Amino acid sequence: MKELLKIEWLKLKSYRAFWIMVGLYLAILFSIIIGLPSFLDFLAQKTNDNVYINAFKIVAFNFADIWQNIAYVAGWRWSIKIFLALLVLIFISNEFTFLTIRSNIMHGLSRTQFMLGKLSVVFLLTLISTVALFVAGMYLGLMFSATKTIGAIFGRIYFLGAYFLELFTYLTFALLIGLLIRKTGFAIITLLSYNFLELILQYYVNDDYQKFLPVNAINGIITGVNSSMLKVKTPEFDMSMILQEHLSPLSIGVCLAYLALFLGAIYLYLKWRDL
Amino acid sequence: MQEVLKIEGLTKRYGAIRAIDGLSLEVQKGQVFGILGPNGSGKTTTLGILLDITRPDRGTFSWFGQKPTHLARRRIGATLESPVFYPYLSAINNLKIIANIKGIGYQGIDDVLELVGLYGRRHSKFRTYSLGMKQRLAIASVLMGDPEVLIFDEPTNGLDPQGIAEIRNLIIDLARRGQTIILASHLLDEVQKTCSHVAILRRGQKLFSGPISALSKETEVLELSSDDPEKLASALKEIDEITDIKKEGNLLLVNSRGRFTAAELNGLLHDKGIMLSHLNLRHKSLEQEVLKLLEEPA
Repeated sequence: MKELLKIEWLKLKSYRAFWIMVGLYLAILFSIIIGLPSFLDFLAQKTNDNVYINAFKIVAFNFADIWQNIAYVAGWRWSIKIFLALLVLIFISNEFTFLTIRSNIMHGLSRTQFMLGKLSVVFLLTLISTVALFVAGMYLGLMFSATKTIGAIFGRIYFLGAYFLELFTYLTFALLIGLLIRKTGFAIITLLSYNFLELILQYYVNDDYQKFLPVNAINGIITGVNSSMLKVKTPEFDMSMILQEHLSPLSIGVCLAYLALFLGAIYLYLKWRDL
Repeated sequence: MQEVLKIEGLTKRYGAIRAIDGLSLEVQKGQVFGILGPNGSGKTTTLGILLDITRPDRGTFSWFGQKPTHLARRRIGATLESPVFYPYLSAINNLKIIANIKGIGYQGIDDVLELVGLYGRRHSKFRTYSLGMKQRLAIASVLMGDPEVLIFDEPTNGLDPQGIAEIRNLIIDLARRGQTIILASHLLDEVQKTCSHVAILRRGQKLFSGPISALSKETEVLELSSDDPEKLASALKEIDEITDIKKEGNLLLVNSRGRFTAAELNGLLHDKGIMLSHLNLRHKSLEQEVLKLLEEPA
């Protein structure tokens, strides 16, 4: 495994476009997360609901809840994680564009080893994103949180684990699309348009089964924000409608099942297809 | 003799086209084995299958007497079609990737770059290379880690005459040192100058396989005539070794297939009481013979 990662490292080390995109992604991720308080201020100014928004702002960045809230923002299906998926699409389809997948195999990698190398990069990208989210969360929390006990800080940090699983599955999905399409441009178009396609598809699917559609499933673990202090129901607005409190084992199971499906498809594709 | 490669009944279809059709071959250690055929005859498809790039529809092959795995491929140095490298990486970094794939150290990199004359440009990005330099880097990558078998797919494509001569001399030099080489080419001249053995492919089928010398013996024809052509013809038919006799004017043409010399045949006929009025060994050029092989309807 270490050897495979080293091979991928040699490929990426001097690939400037890759590092520019990673840097850009991290910069945008940090500015979004760290800019959230100012964004809520801005929303409060612009709307009439400023009571709710201000109340939310006071509690949203409290430790324990903050992990869920920033993981929801960073993992939202239309948000910057698409950026990481593009990165994955580029580095897999490049191997086909340059035909270097052939030379890798020809010189002595097995097809499985080739894919394990790619998956280890996907794993690292997911890890980097999760660590960046952790750092941004610590910063925000230490700035804004009312409680700063160790228990509170690490209380619901498992939401970062959920974020990791969602992102890793999403990037594996991107890897599969890159592998199937092979051409960078088409792969990007396919990935983006599938997001829309599923919205349309969802319209025809029974509400109970919508969560089993792939993009729903791999975005379905963290479904909303939370704030334990806003659990009060007011007559005109029931906050519990949009607030998620716990991770549902079913949604984790469905996501893991899709991860297994994507990995299986990648394995079988490489087993049978010409390169 | 040690078997390096054995192919049995390999078949690969692309839709209705049979790229290779029931191909069987054997390559022994120390042979310089040429795979000769026009474009589209299945050379690259065959090599692609041997290197696990292409999946065969039917048939099997073994490297070094074992089931082919990625570990067998580490003992092989190969080029396939055009040179393939990461365009944004230097020659050195490209070869480092290959060294890591093969599980060998970096110490041989400078040597192979020196050998193909790219040492001076070792830090330049691959995309800045001319076609000739790209081809030479591909040759350098083949030589990495001193593999047991070298596979060259059209190694002189796109090279200028001086480059062609250099690469051929390099291959001949490697062959002299006992290196096992498999060379795919559509150039007869190239195969003739470098190979000890040859398989000729046409539309995915093997037309001939054997030592190059057998192919040249195939082309030795004895011209015979005597005052009594009918007696000569019937005498020739009595000789078992003679399989085909052709008439050309008042000459009889006999293909010796390397089994007897002109003098031996003369002796045999003399014993049968035939005096030849004409005896000549005619060499057809290898090129004519190969062209003839390729033109024959399937």
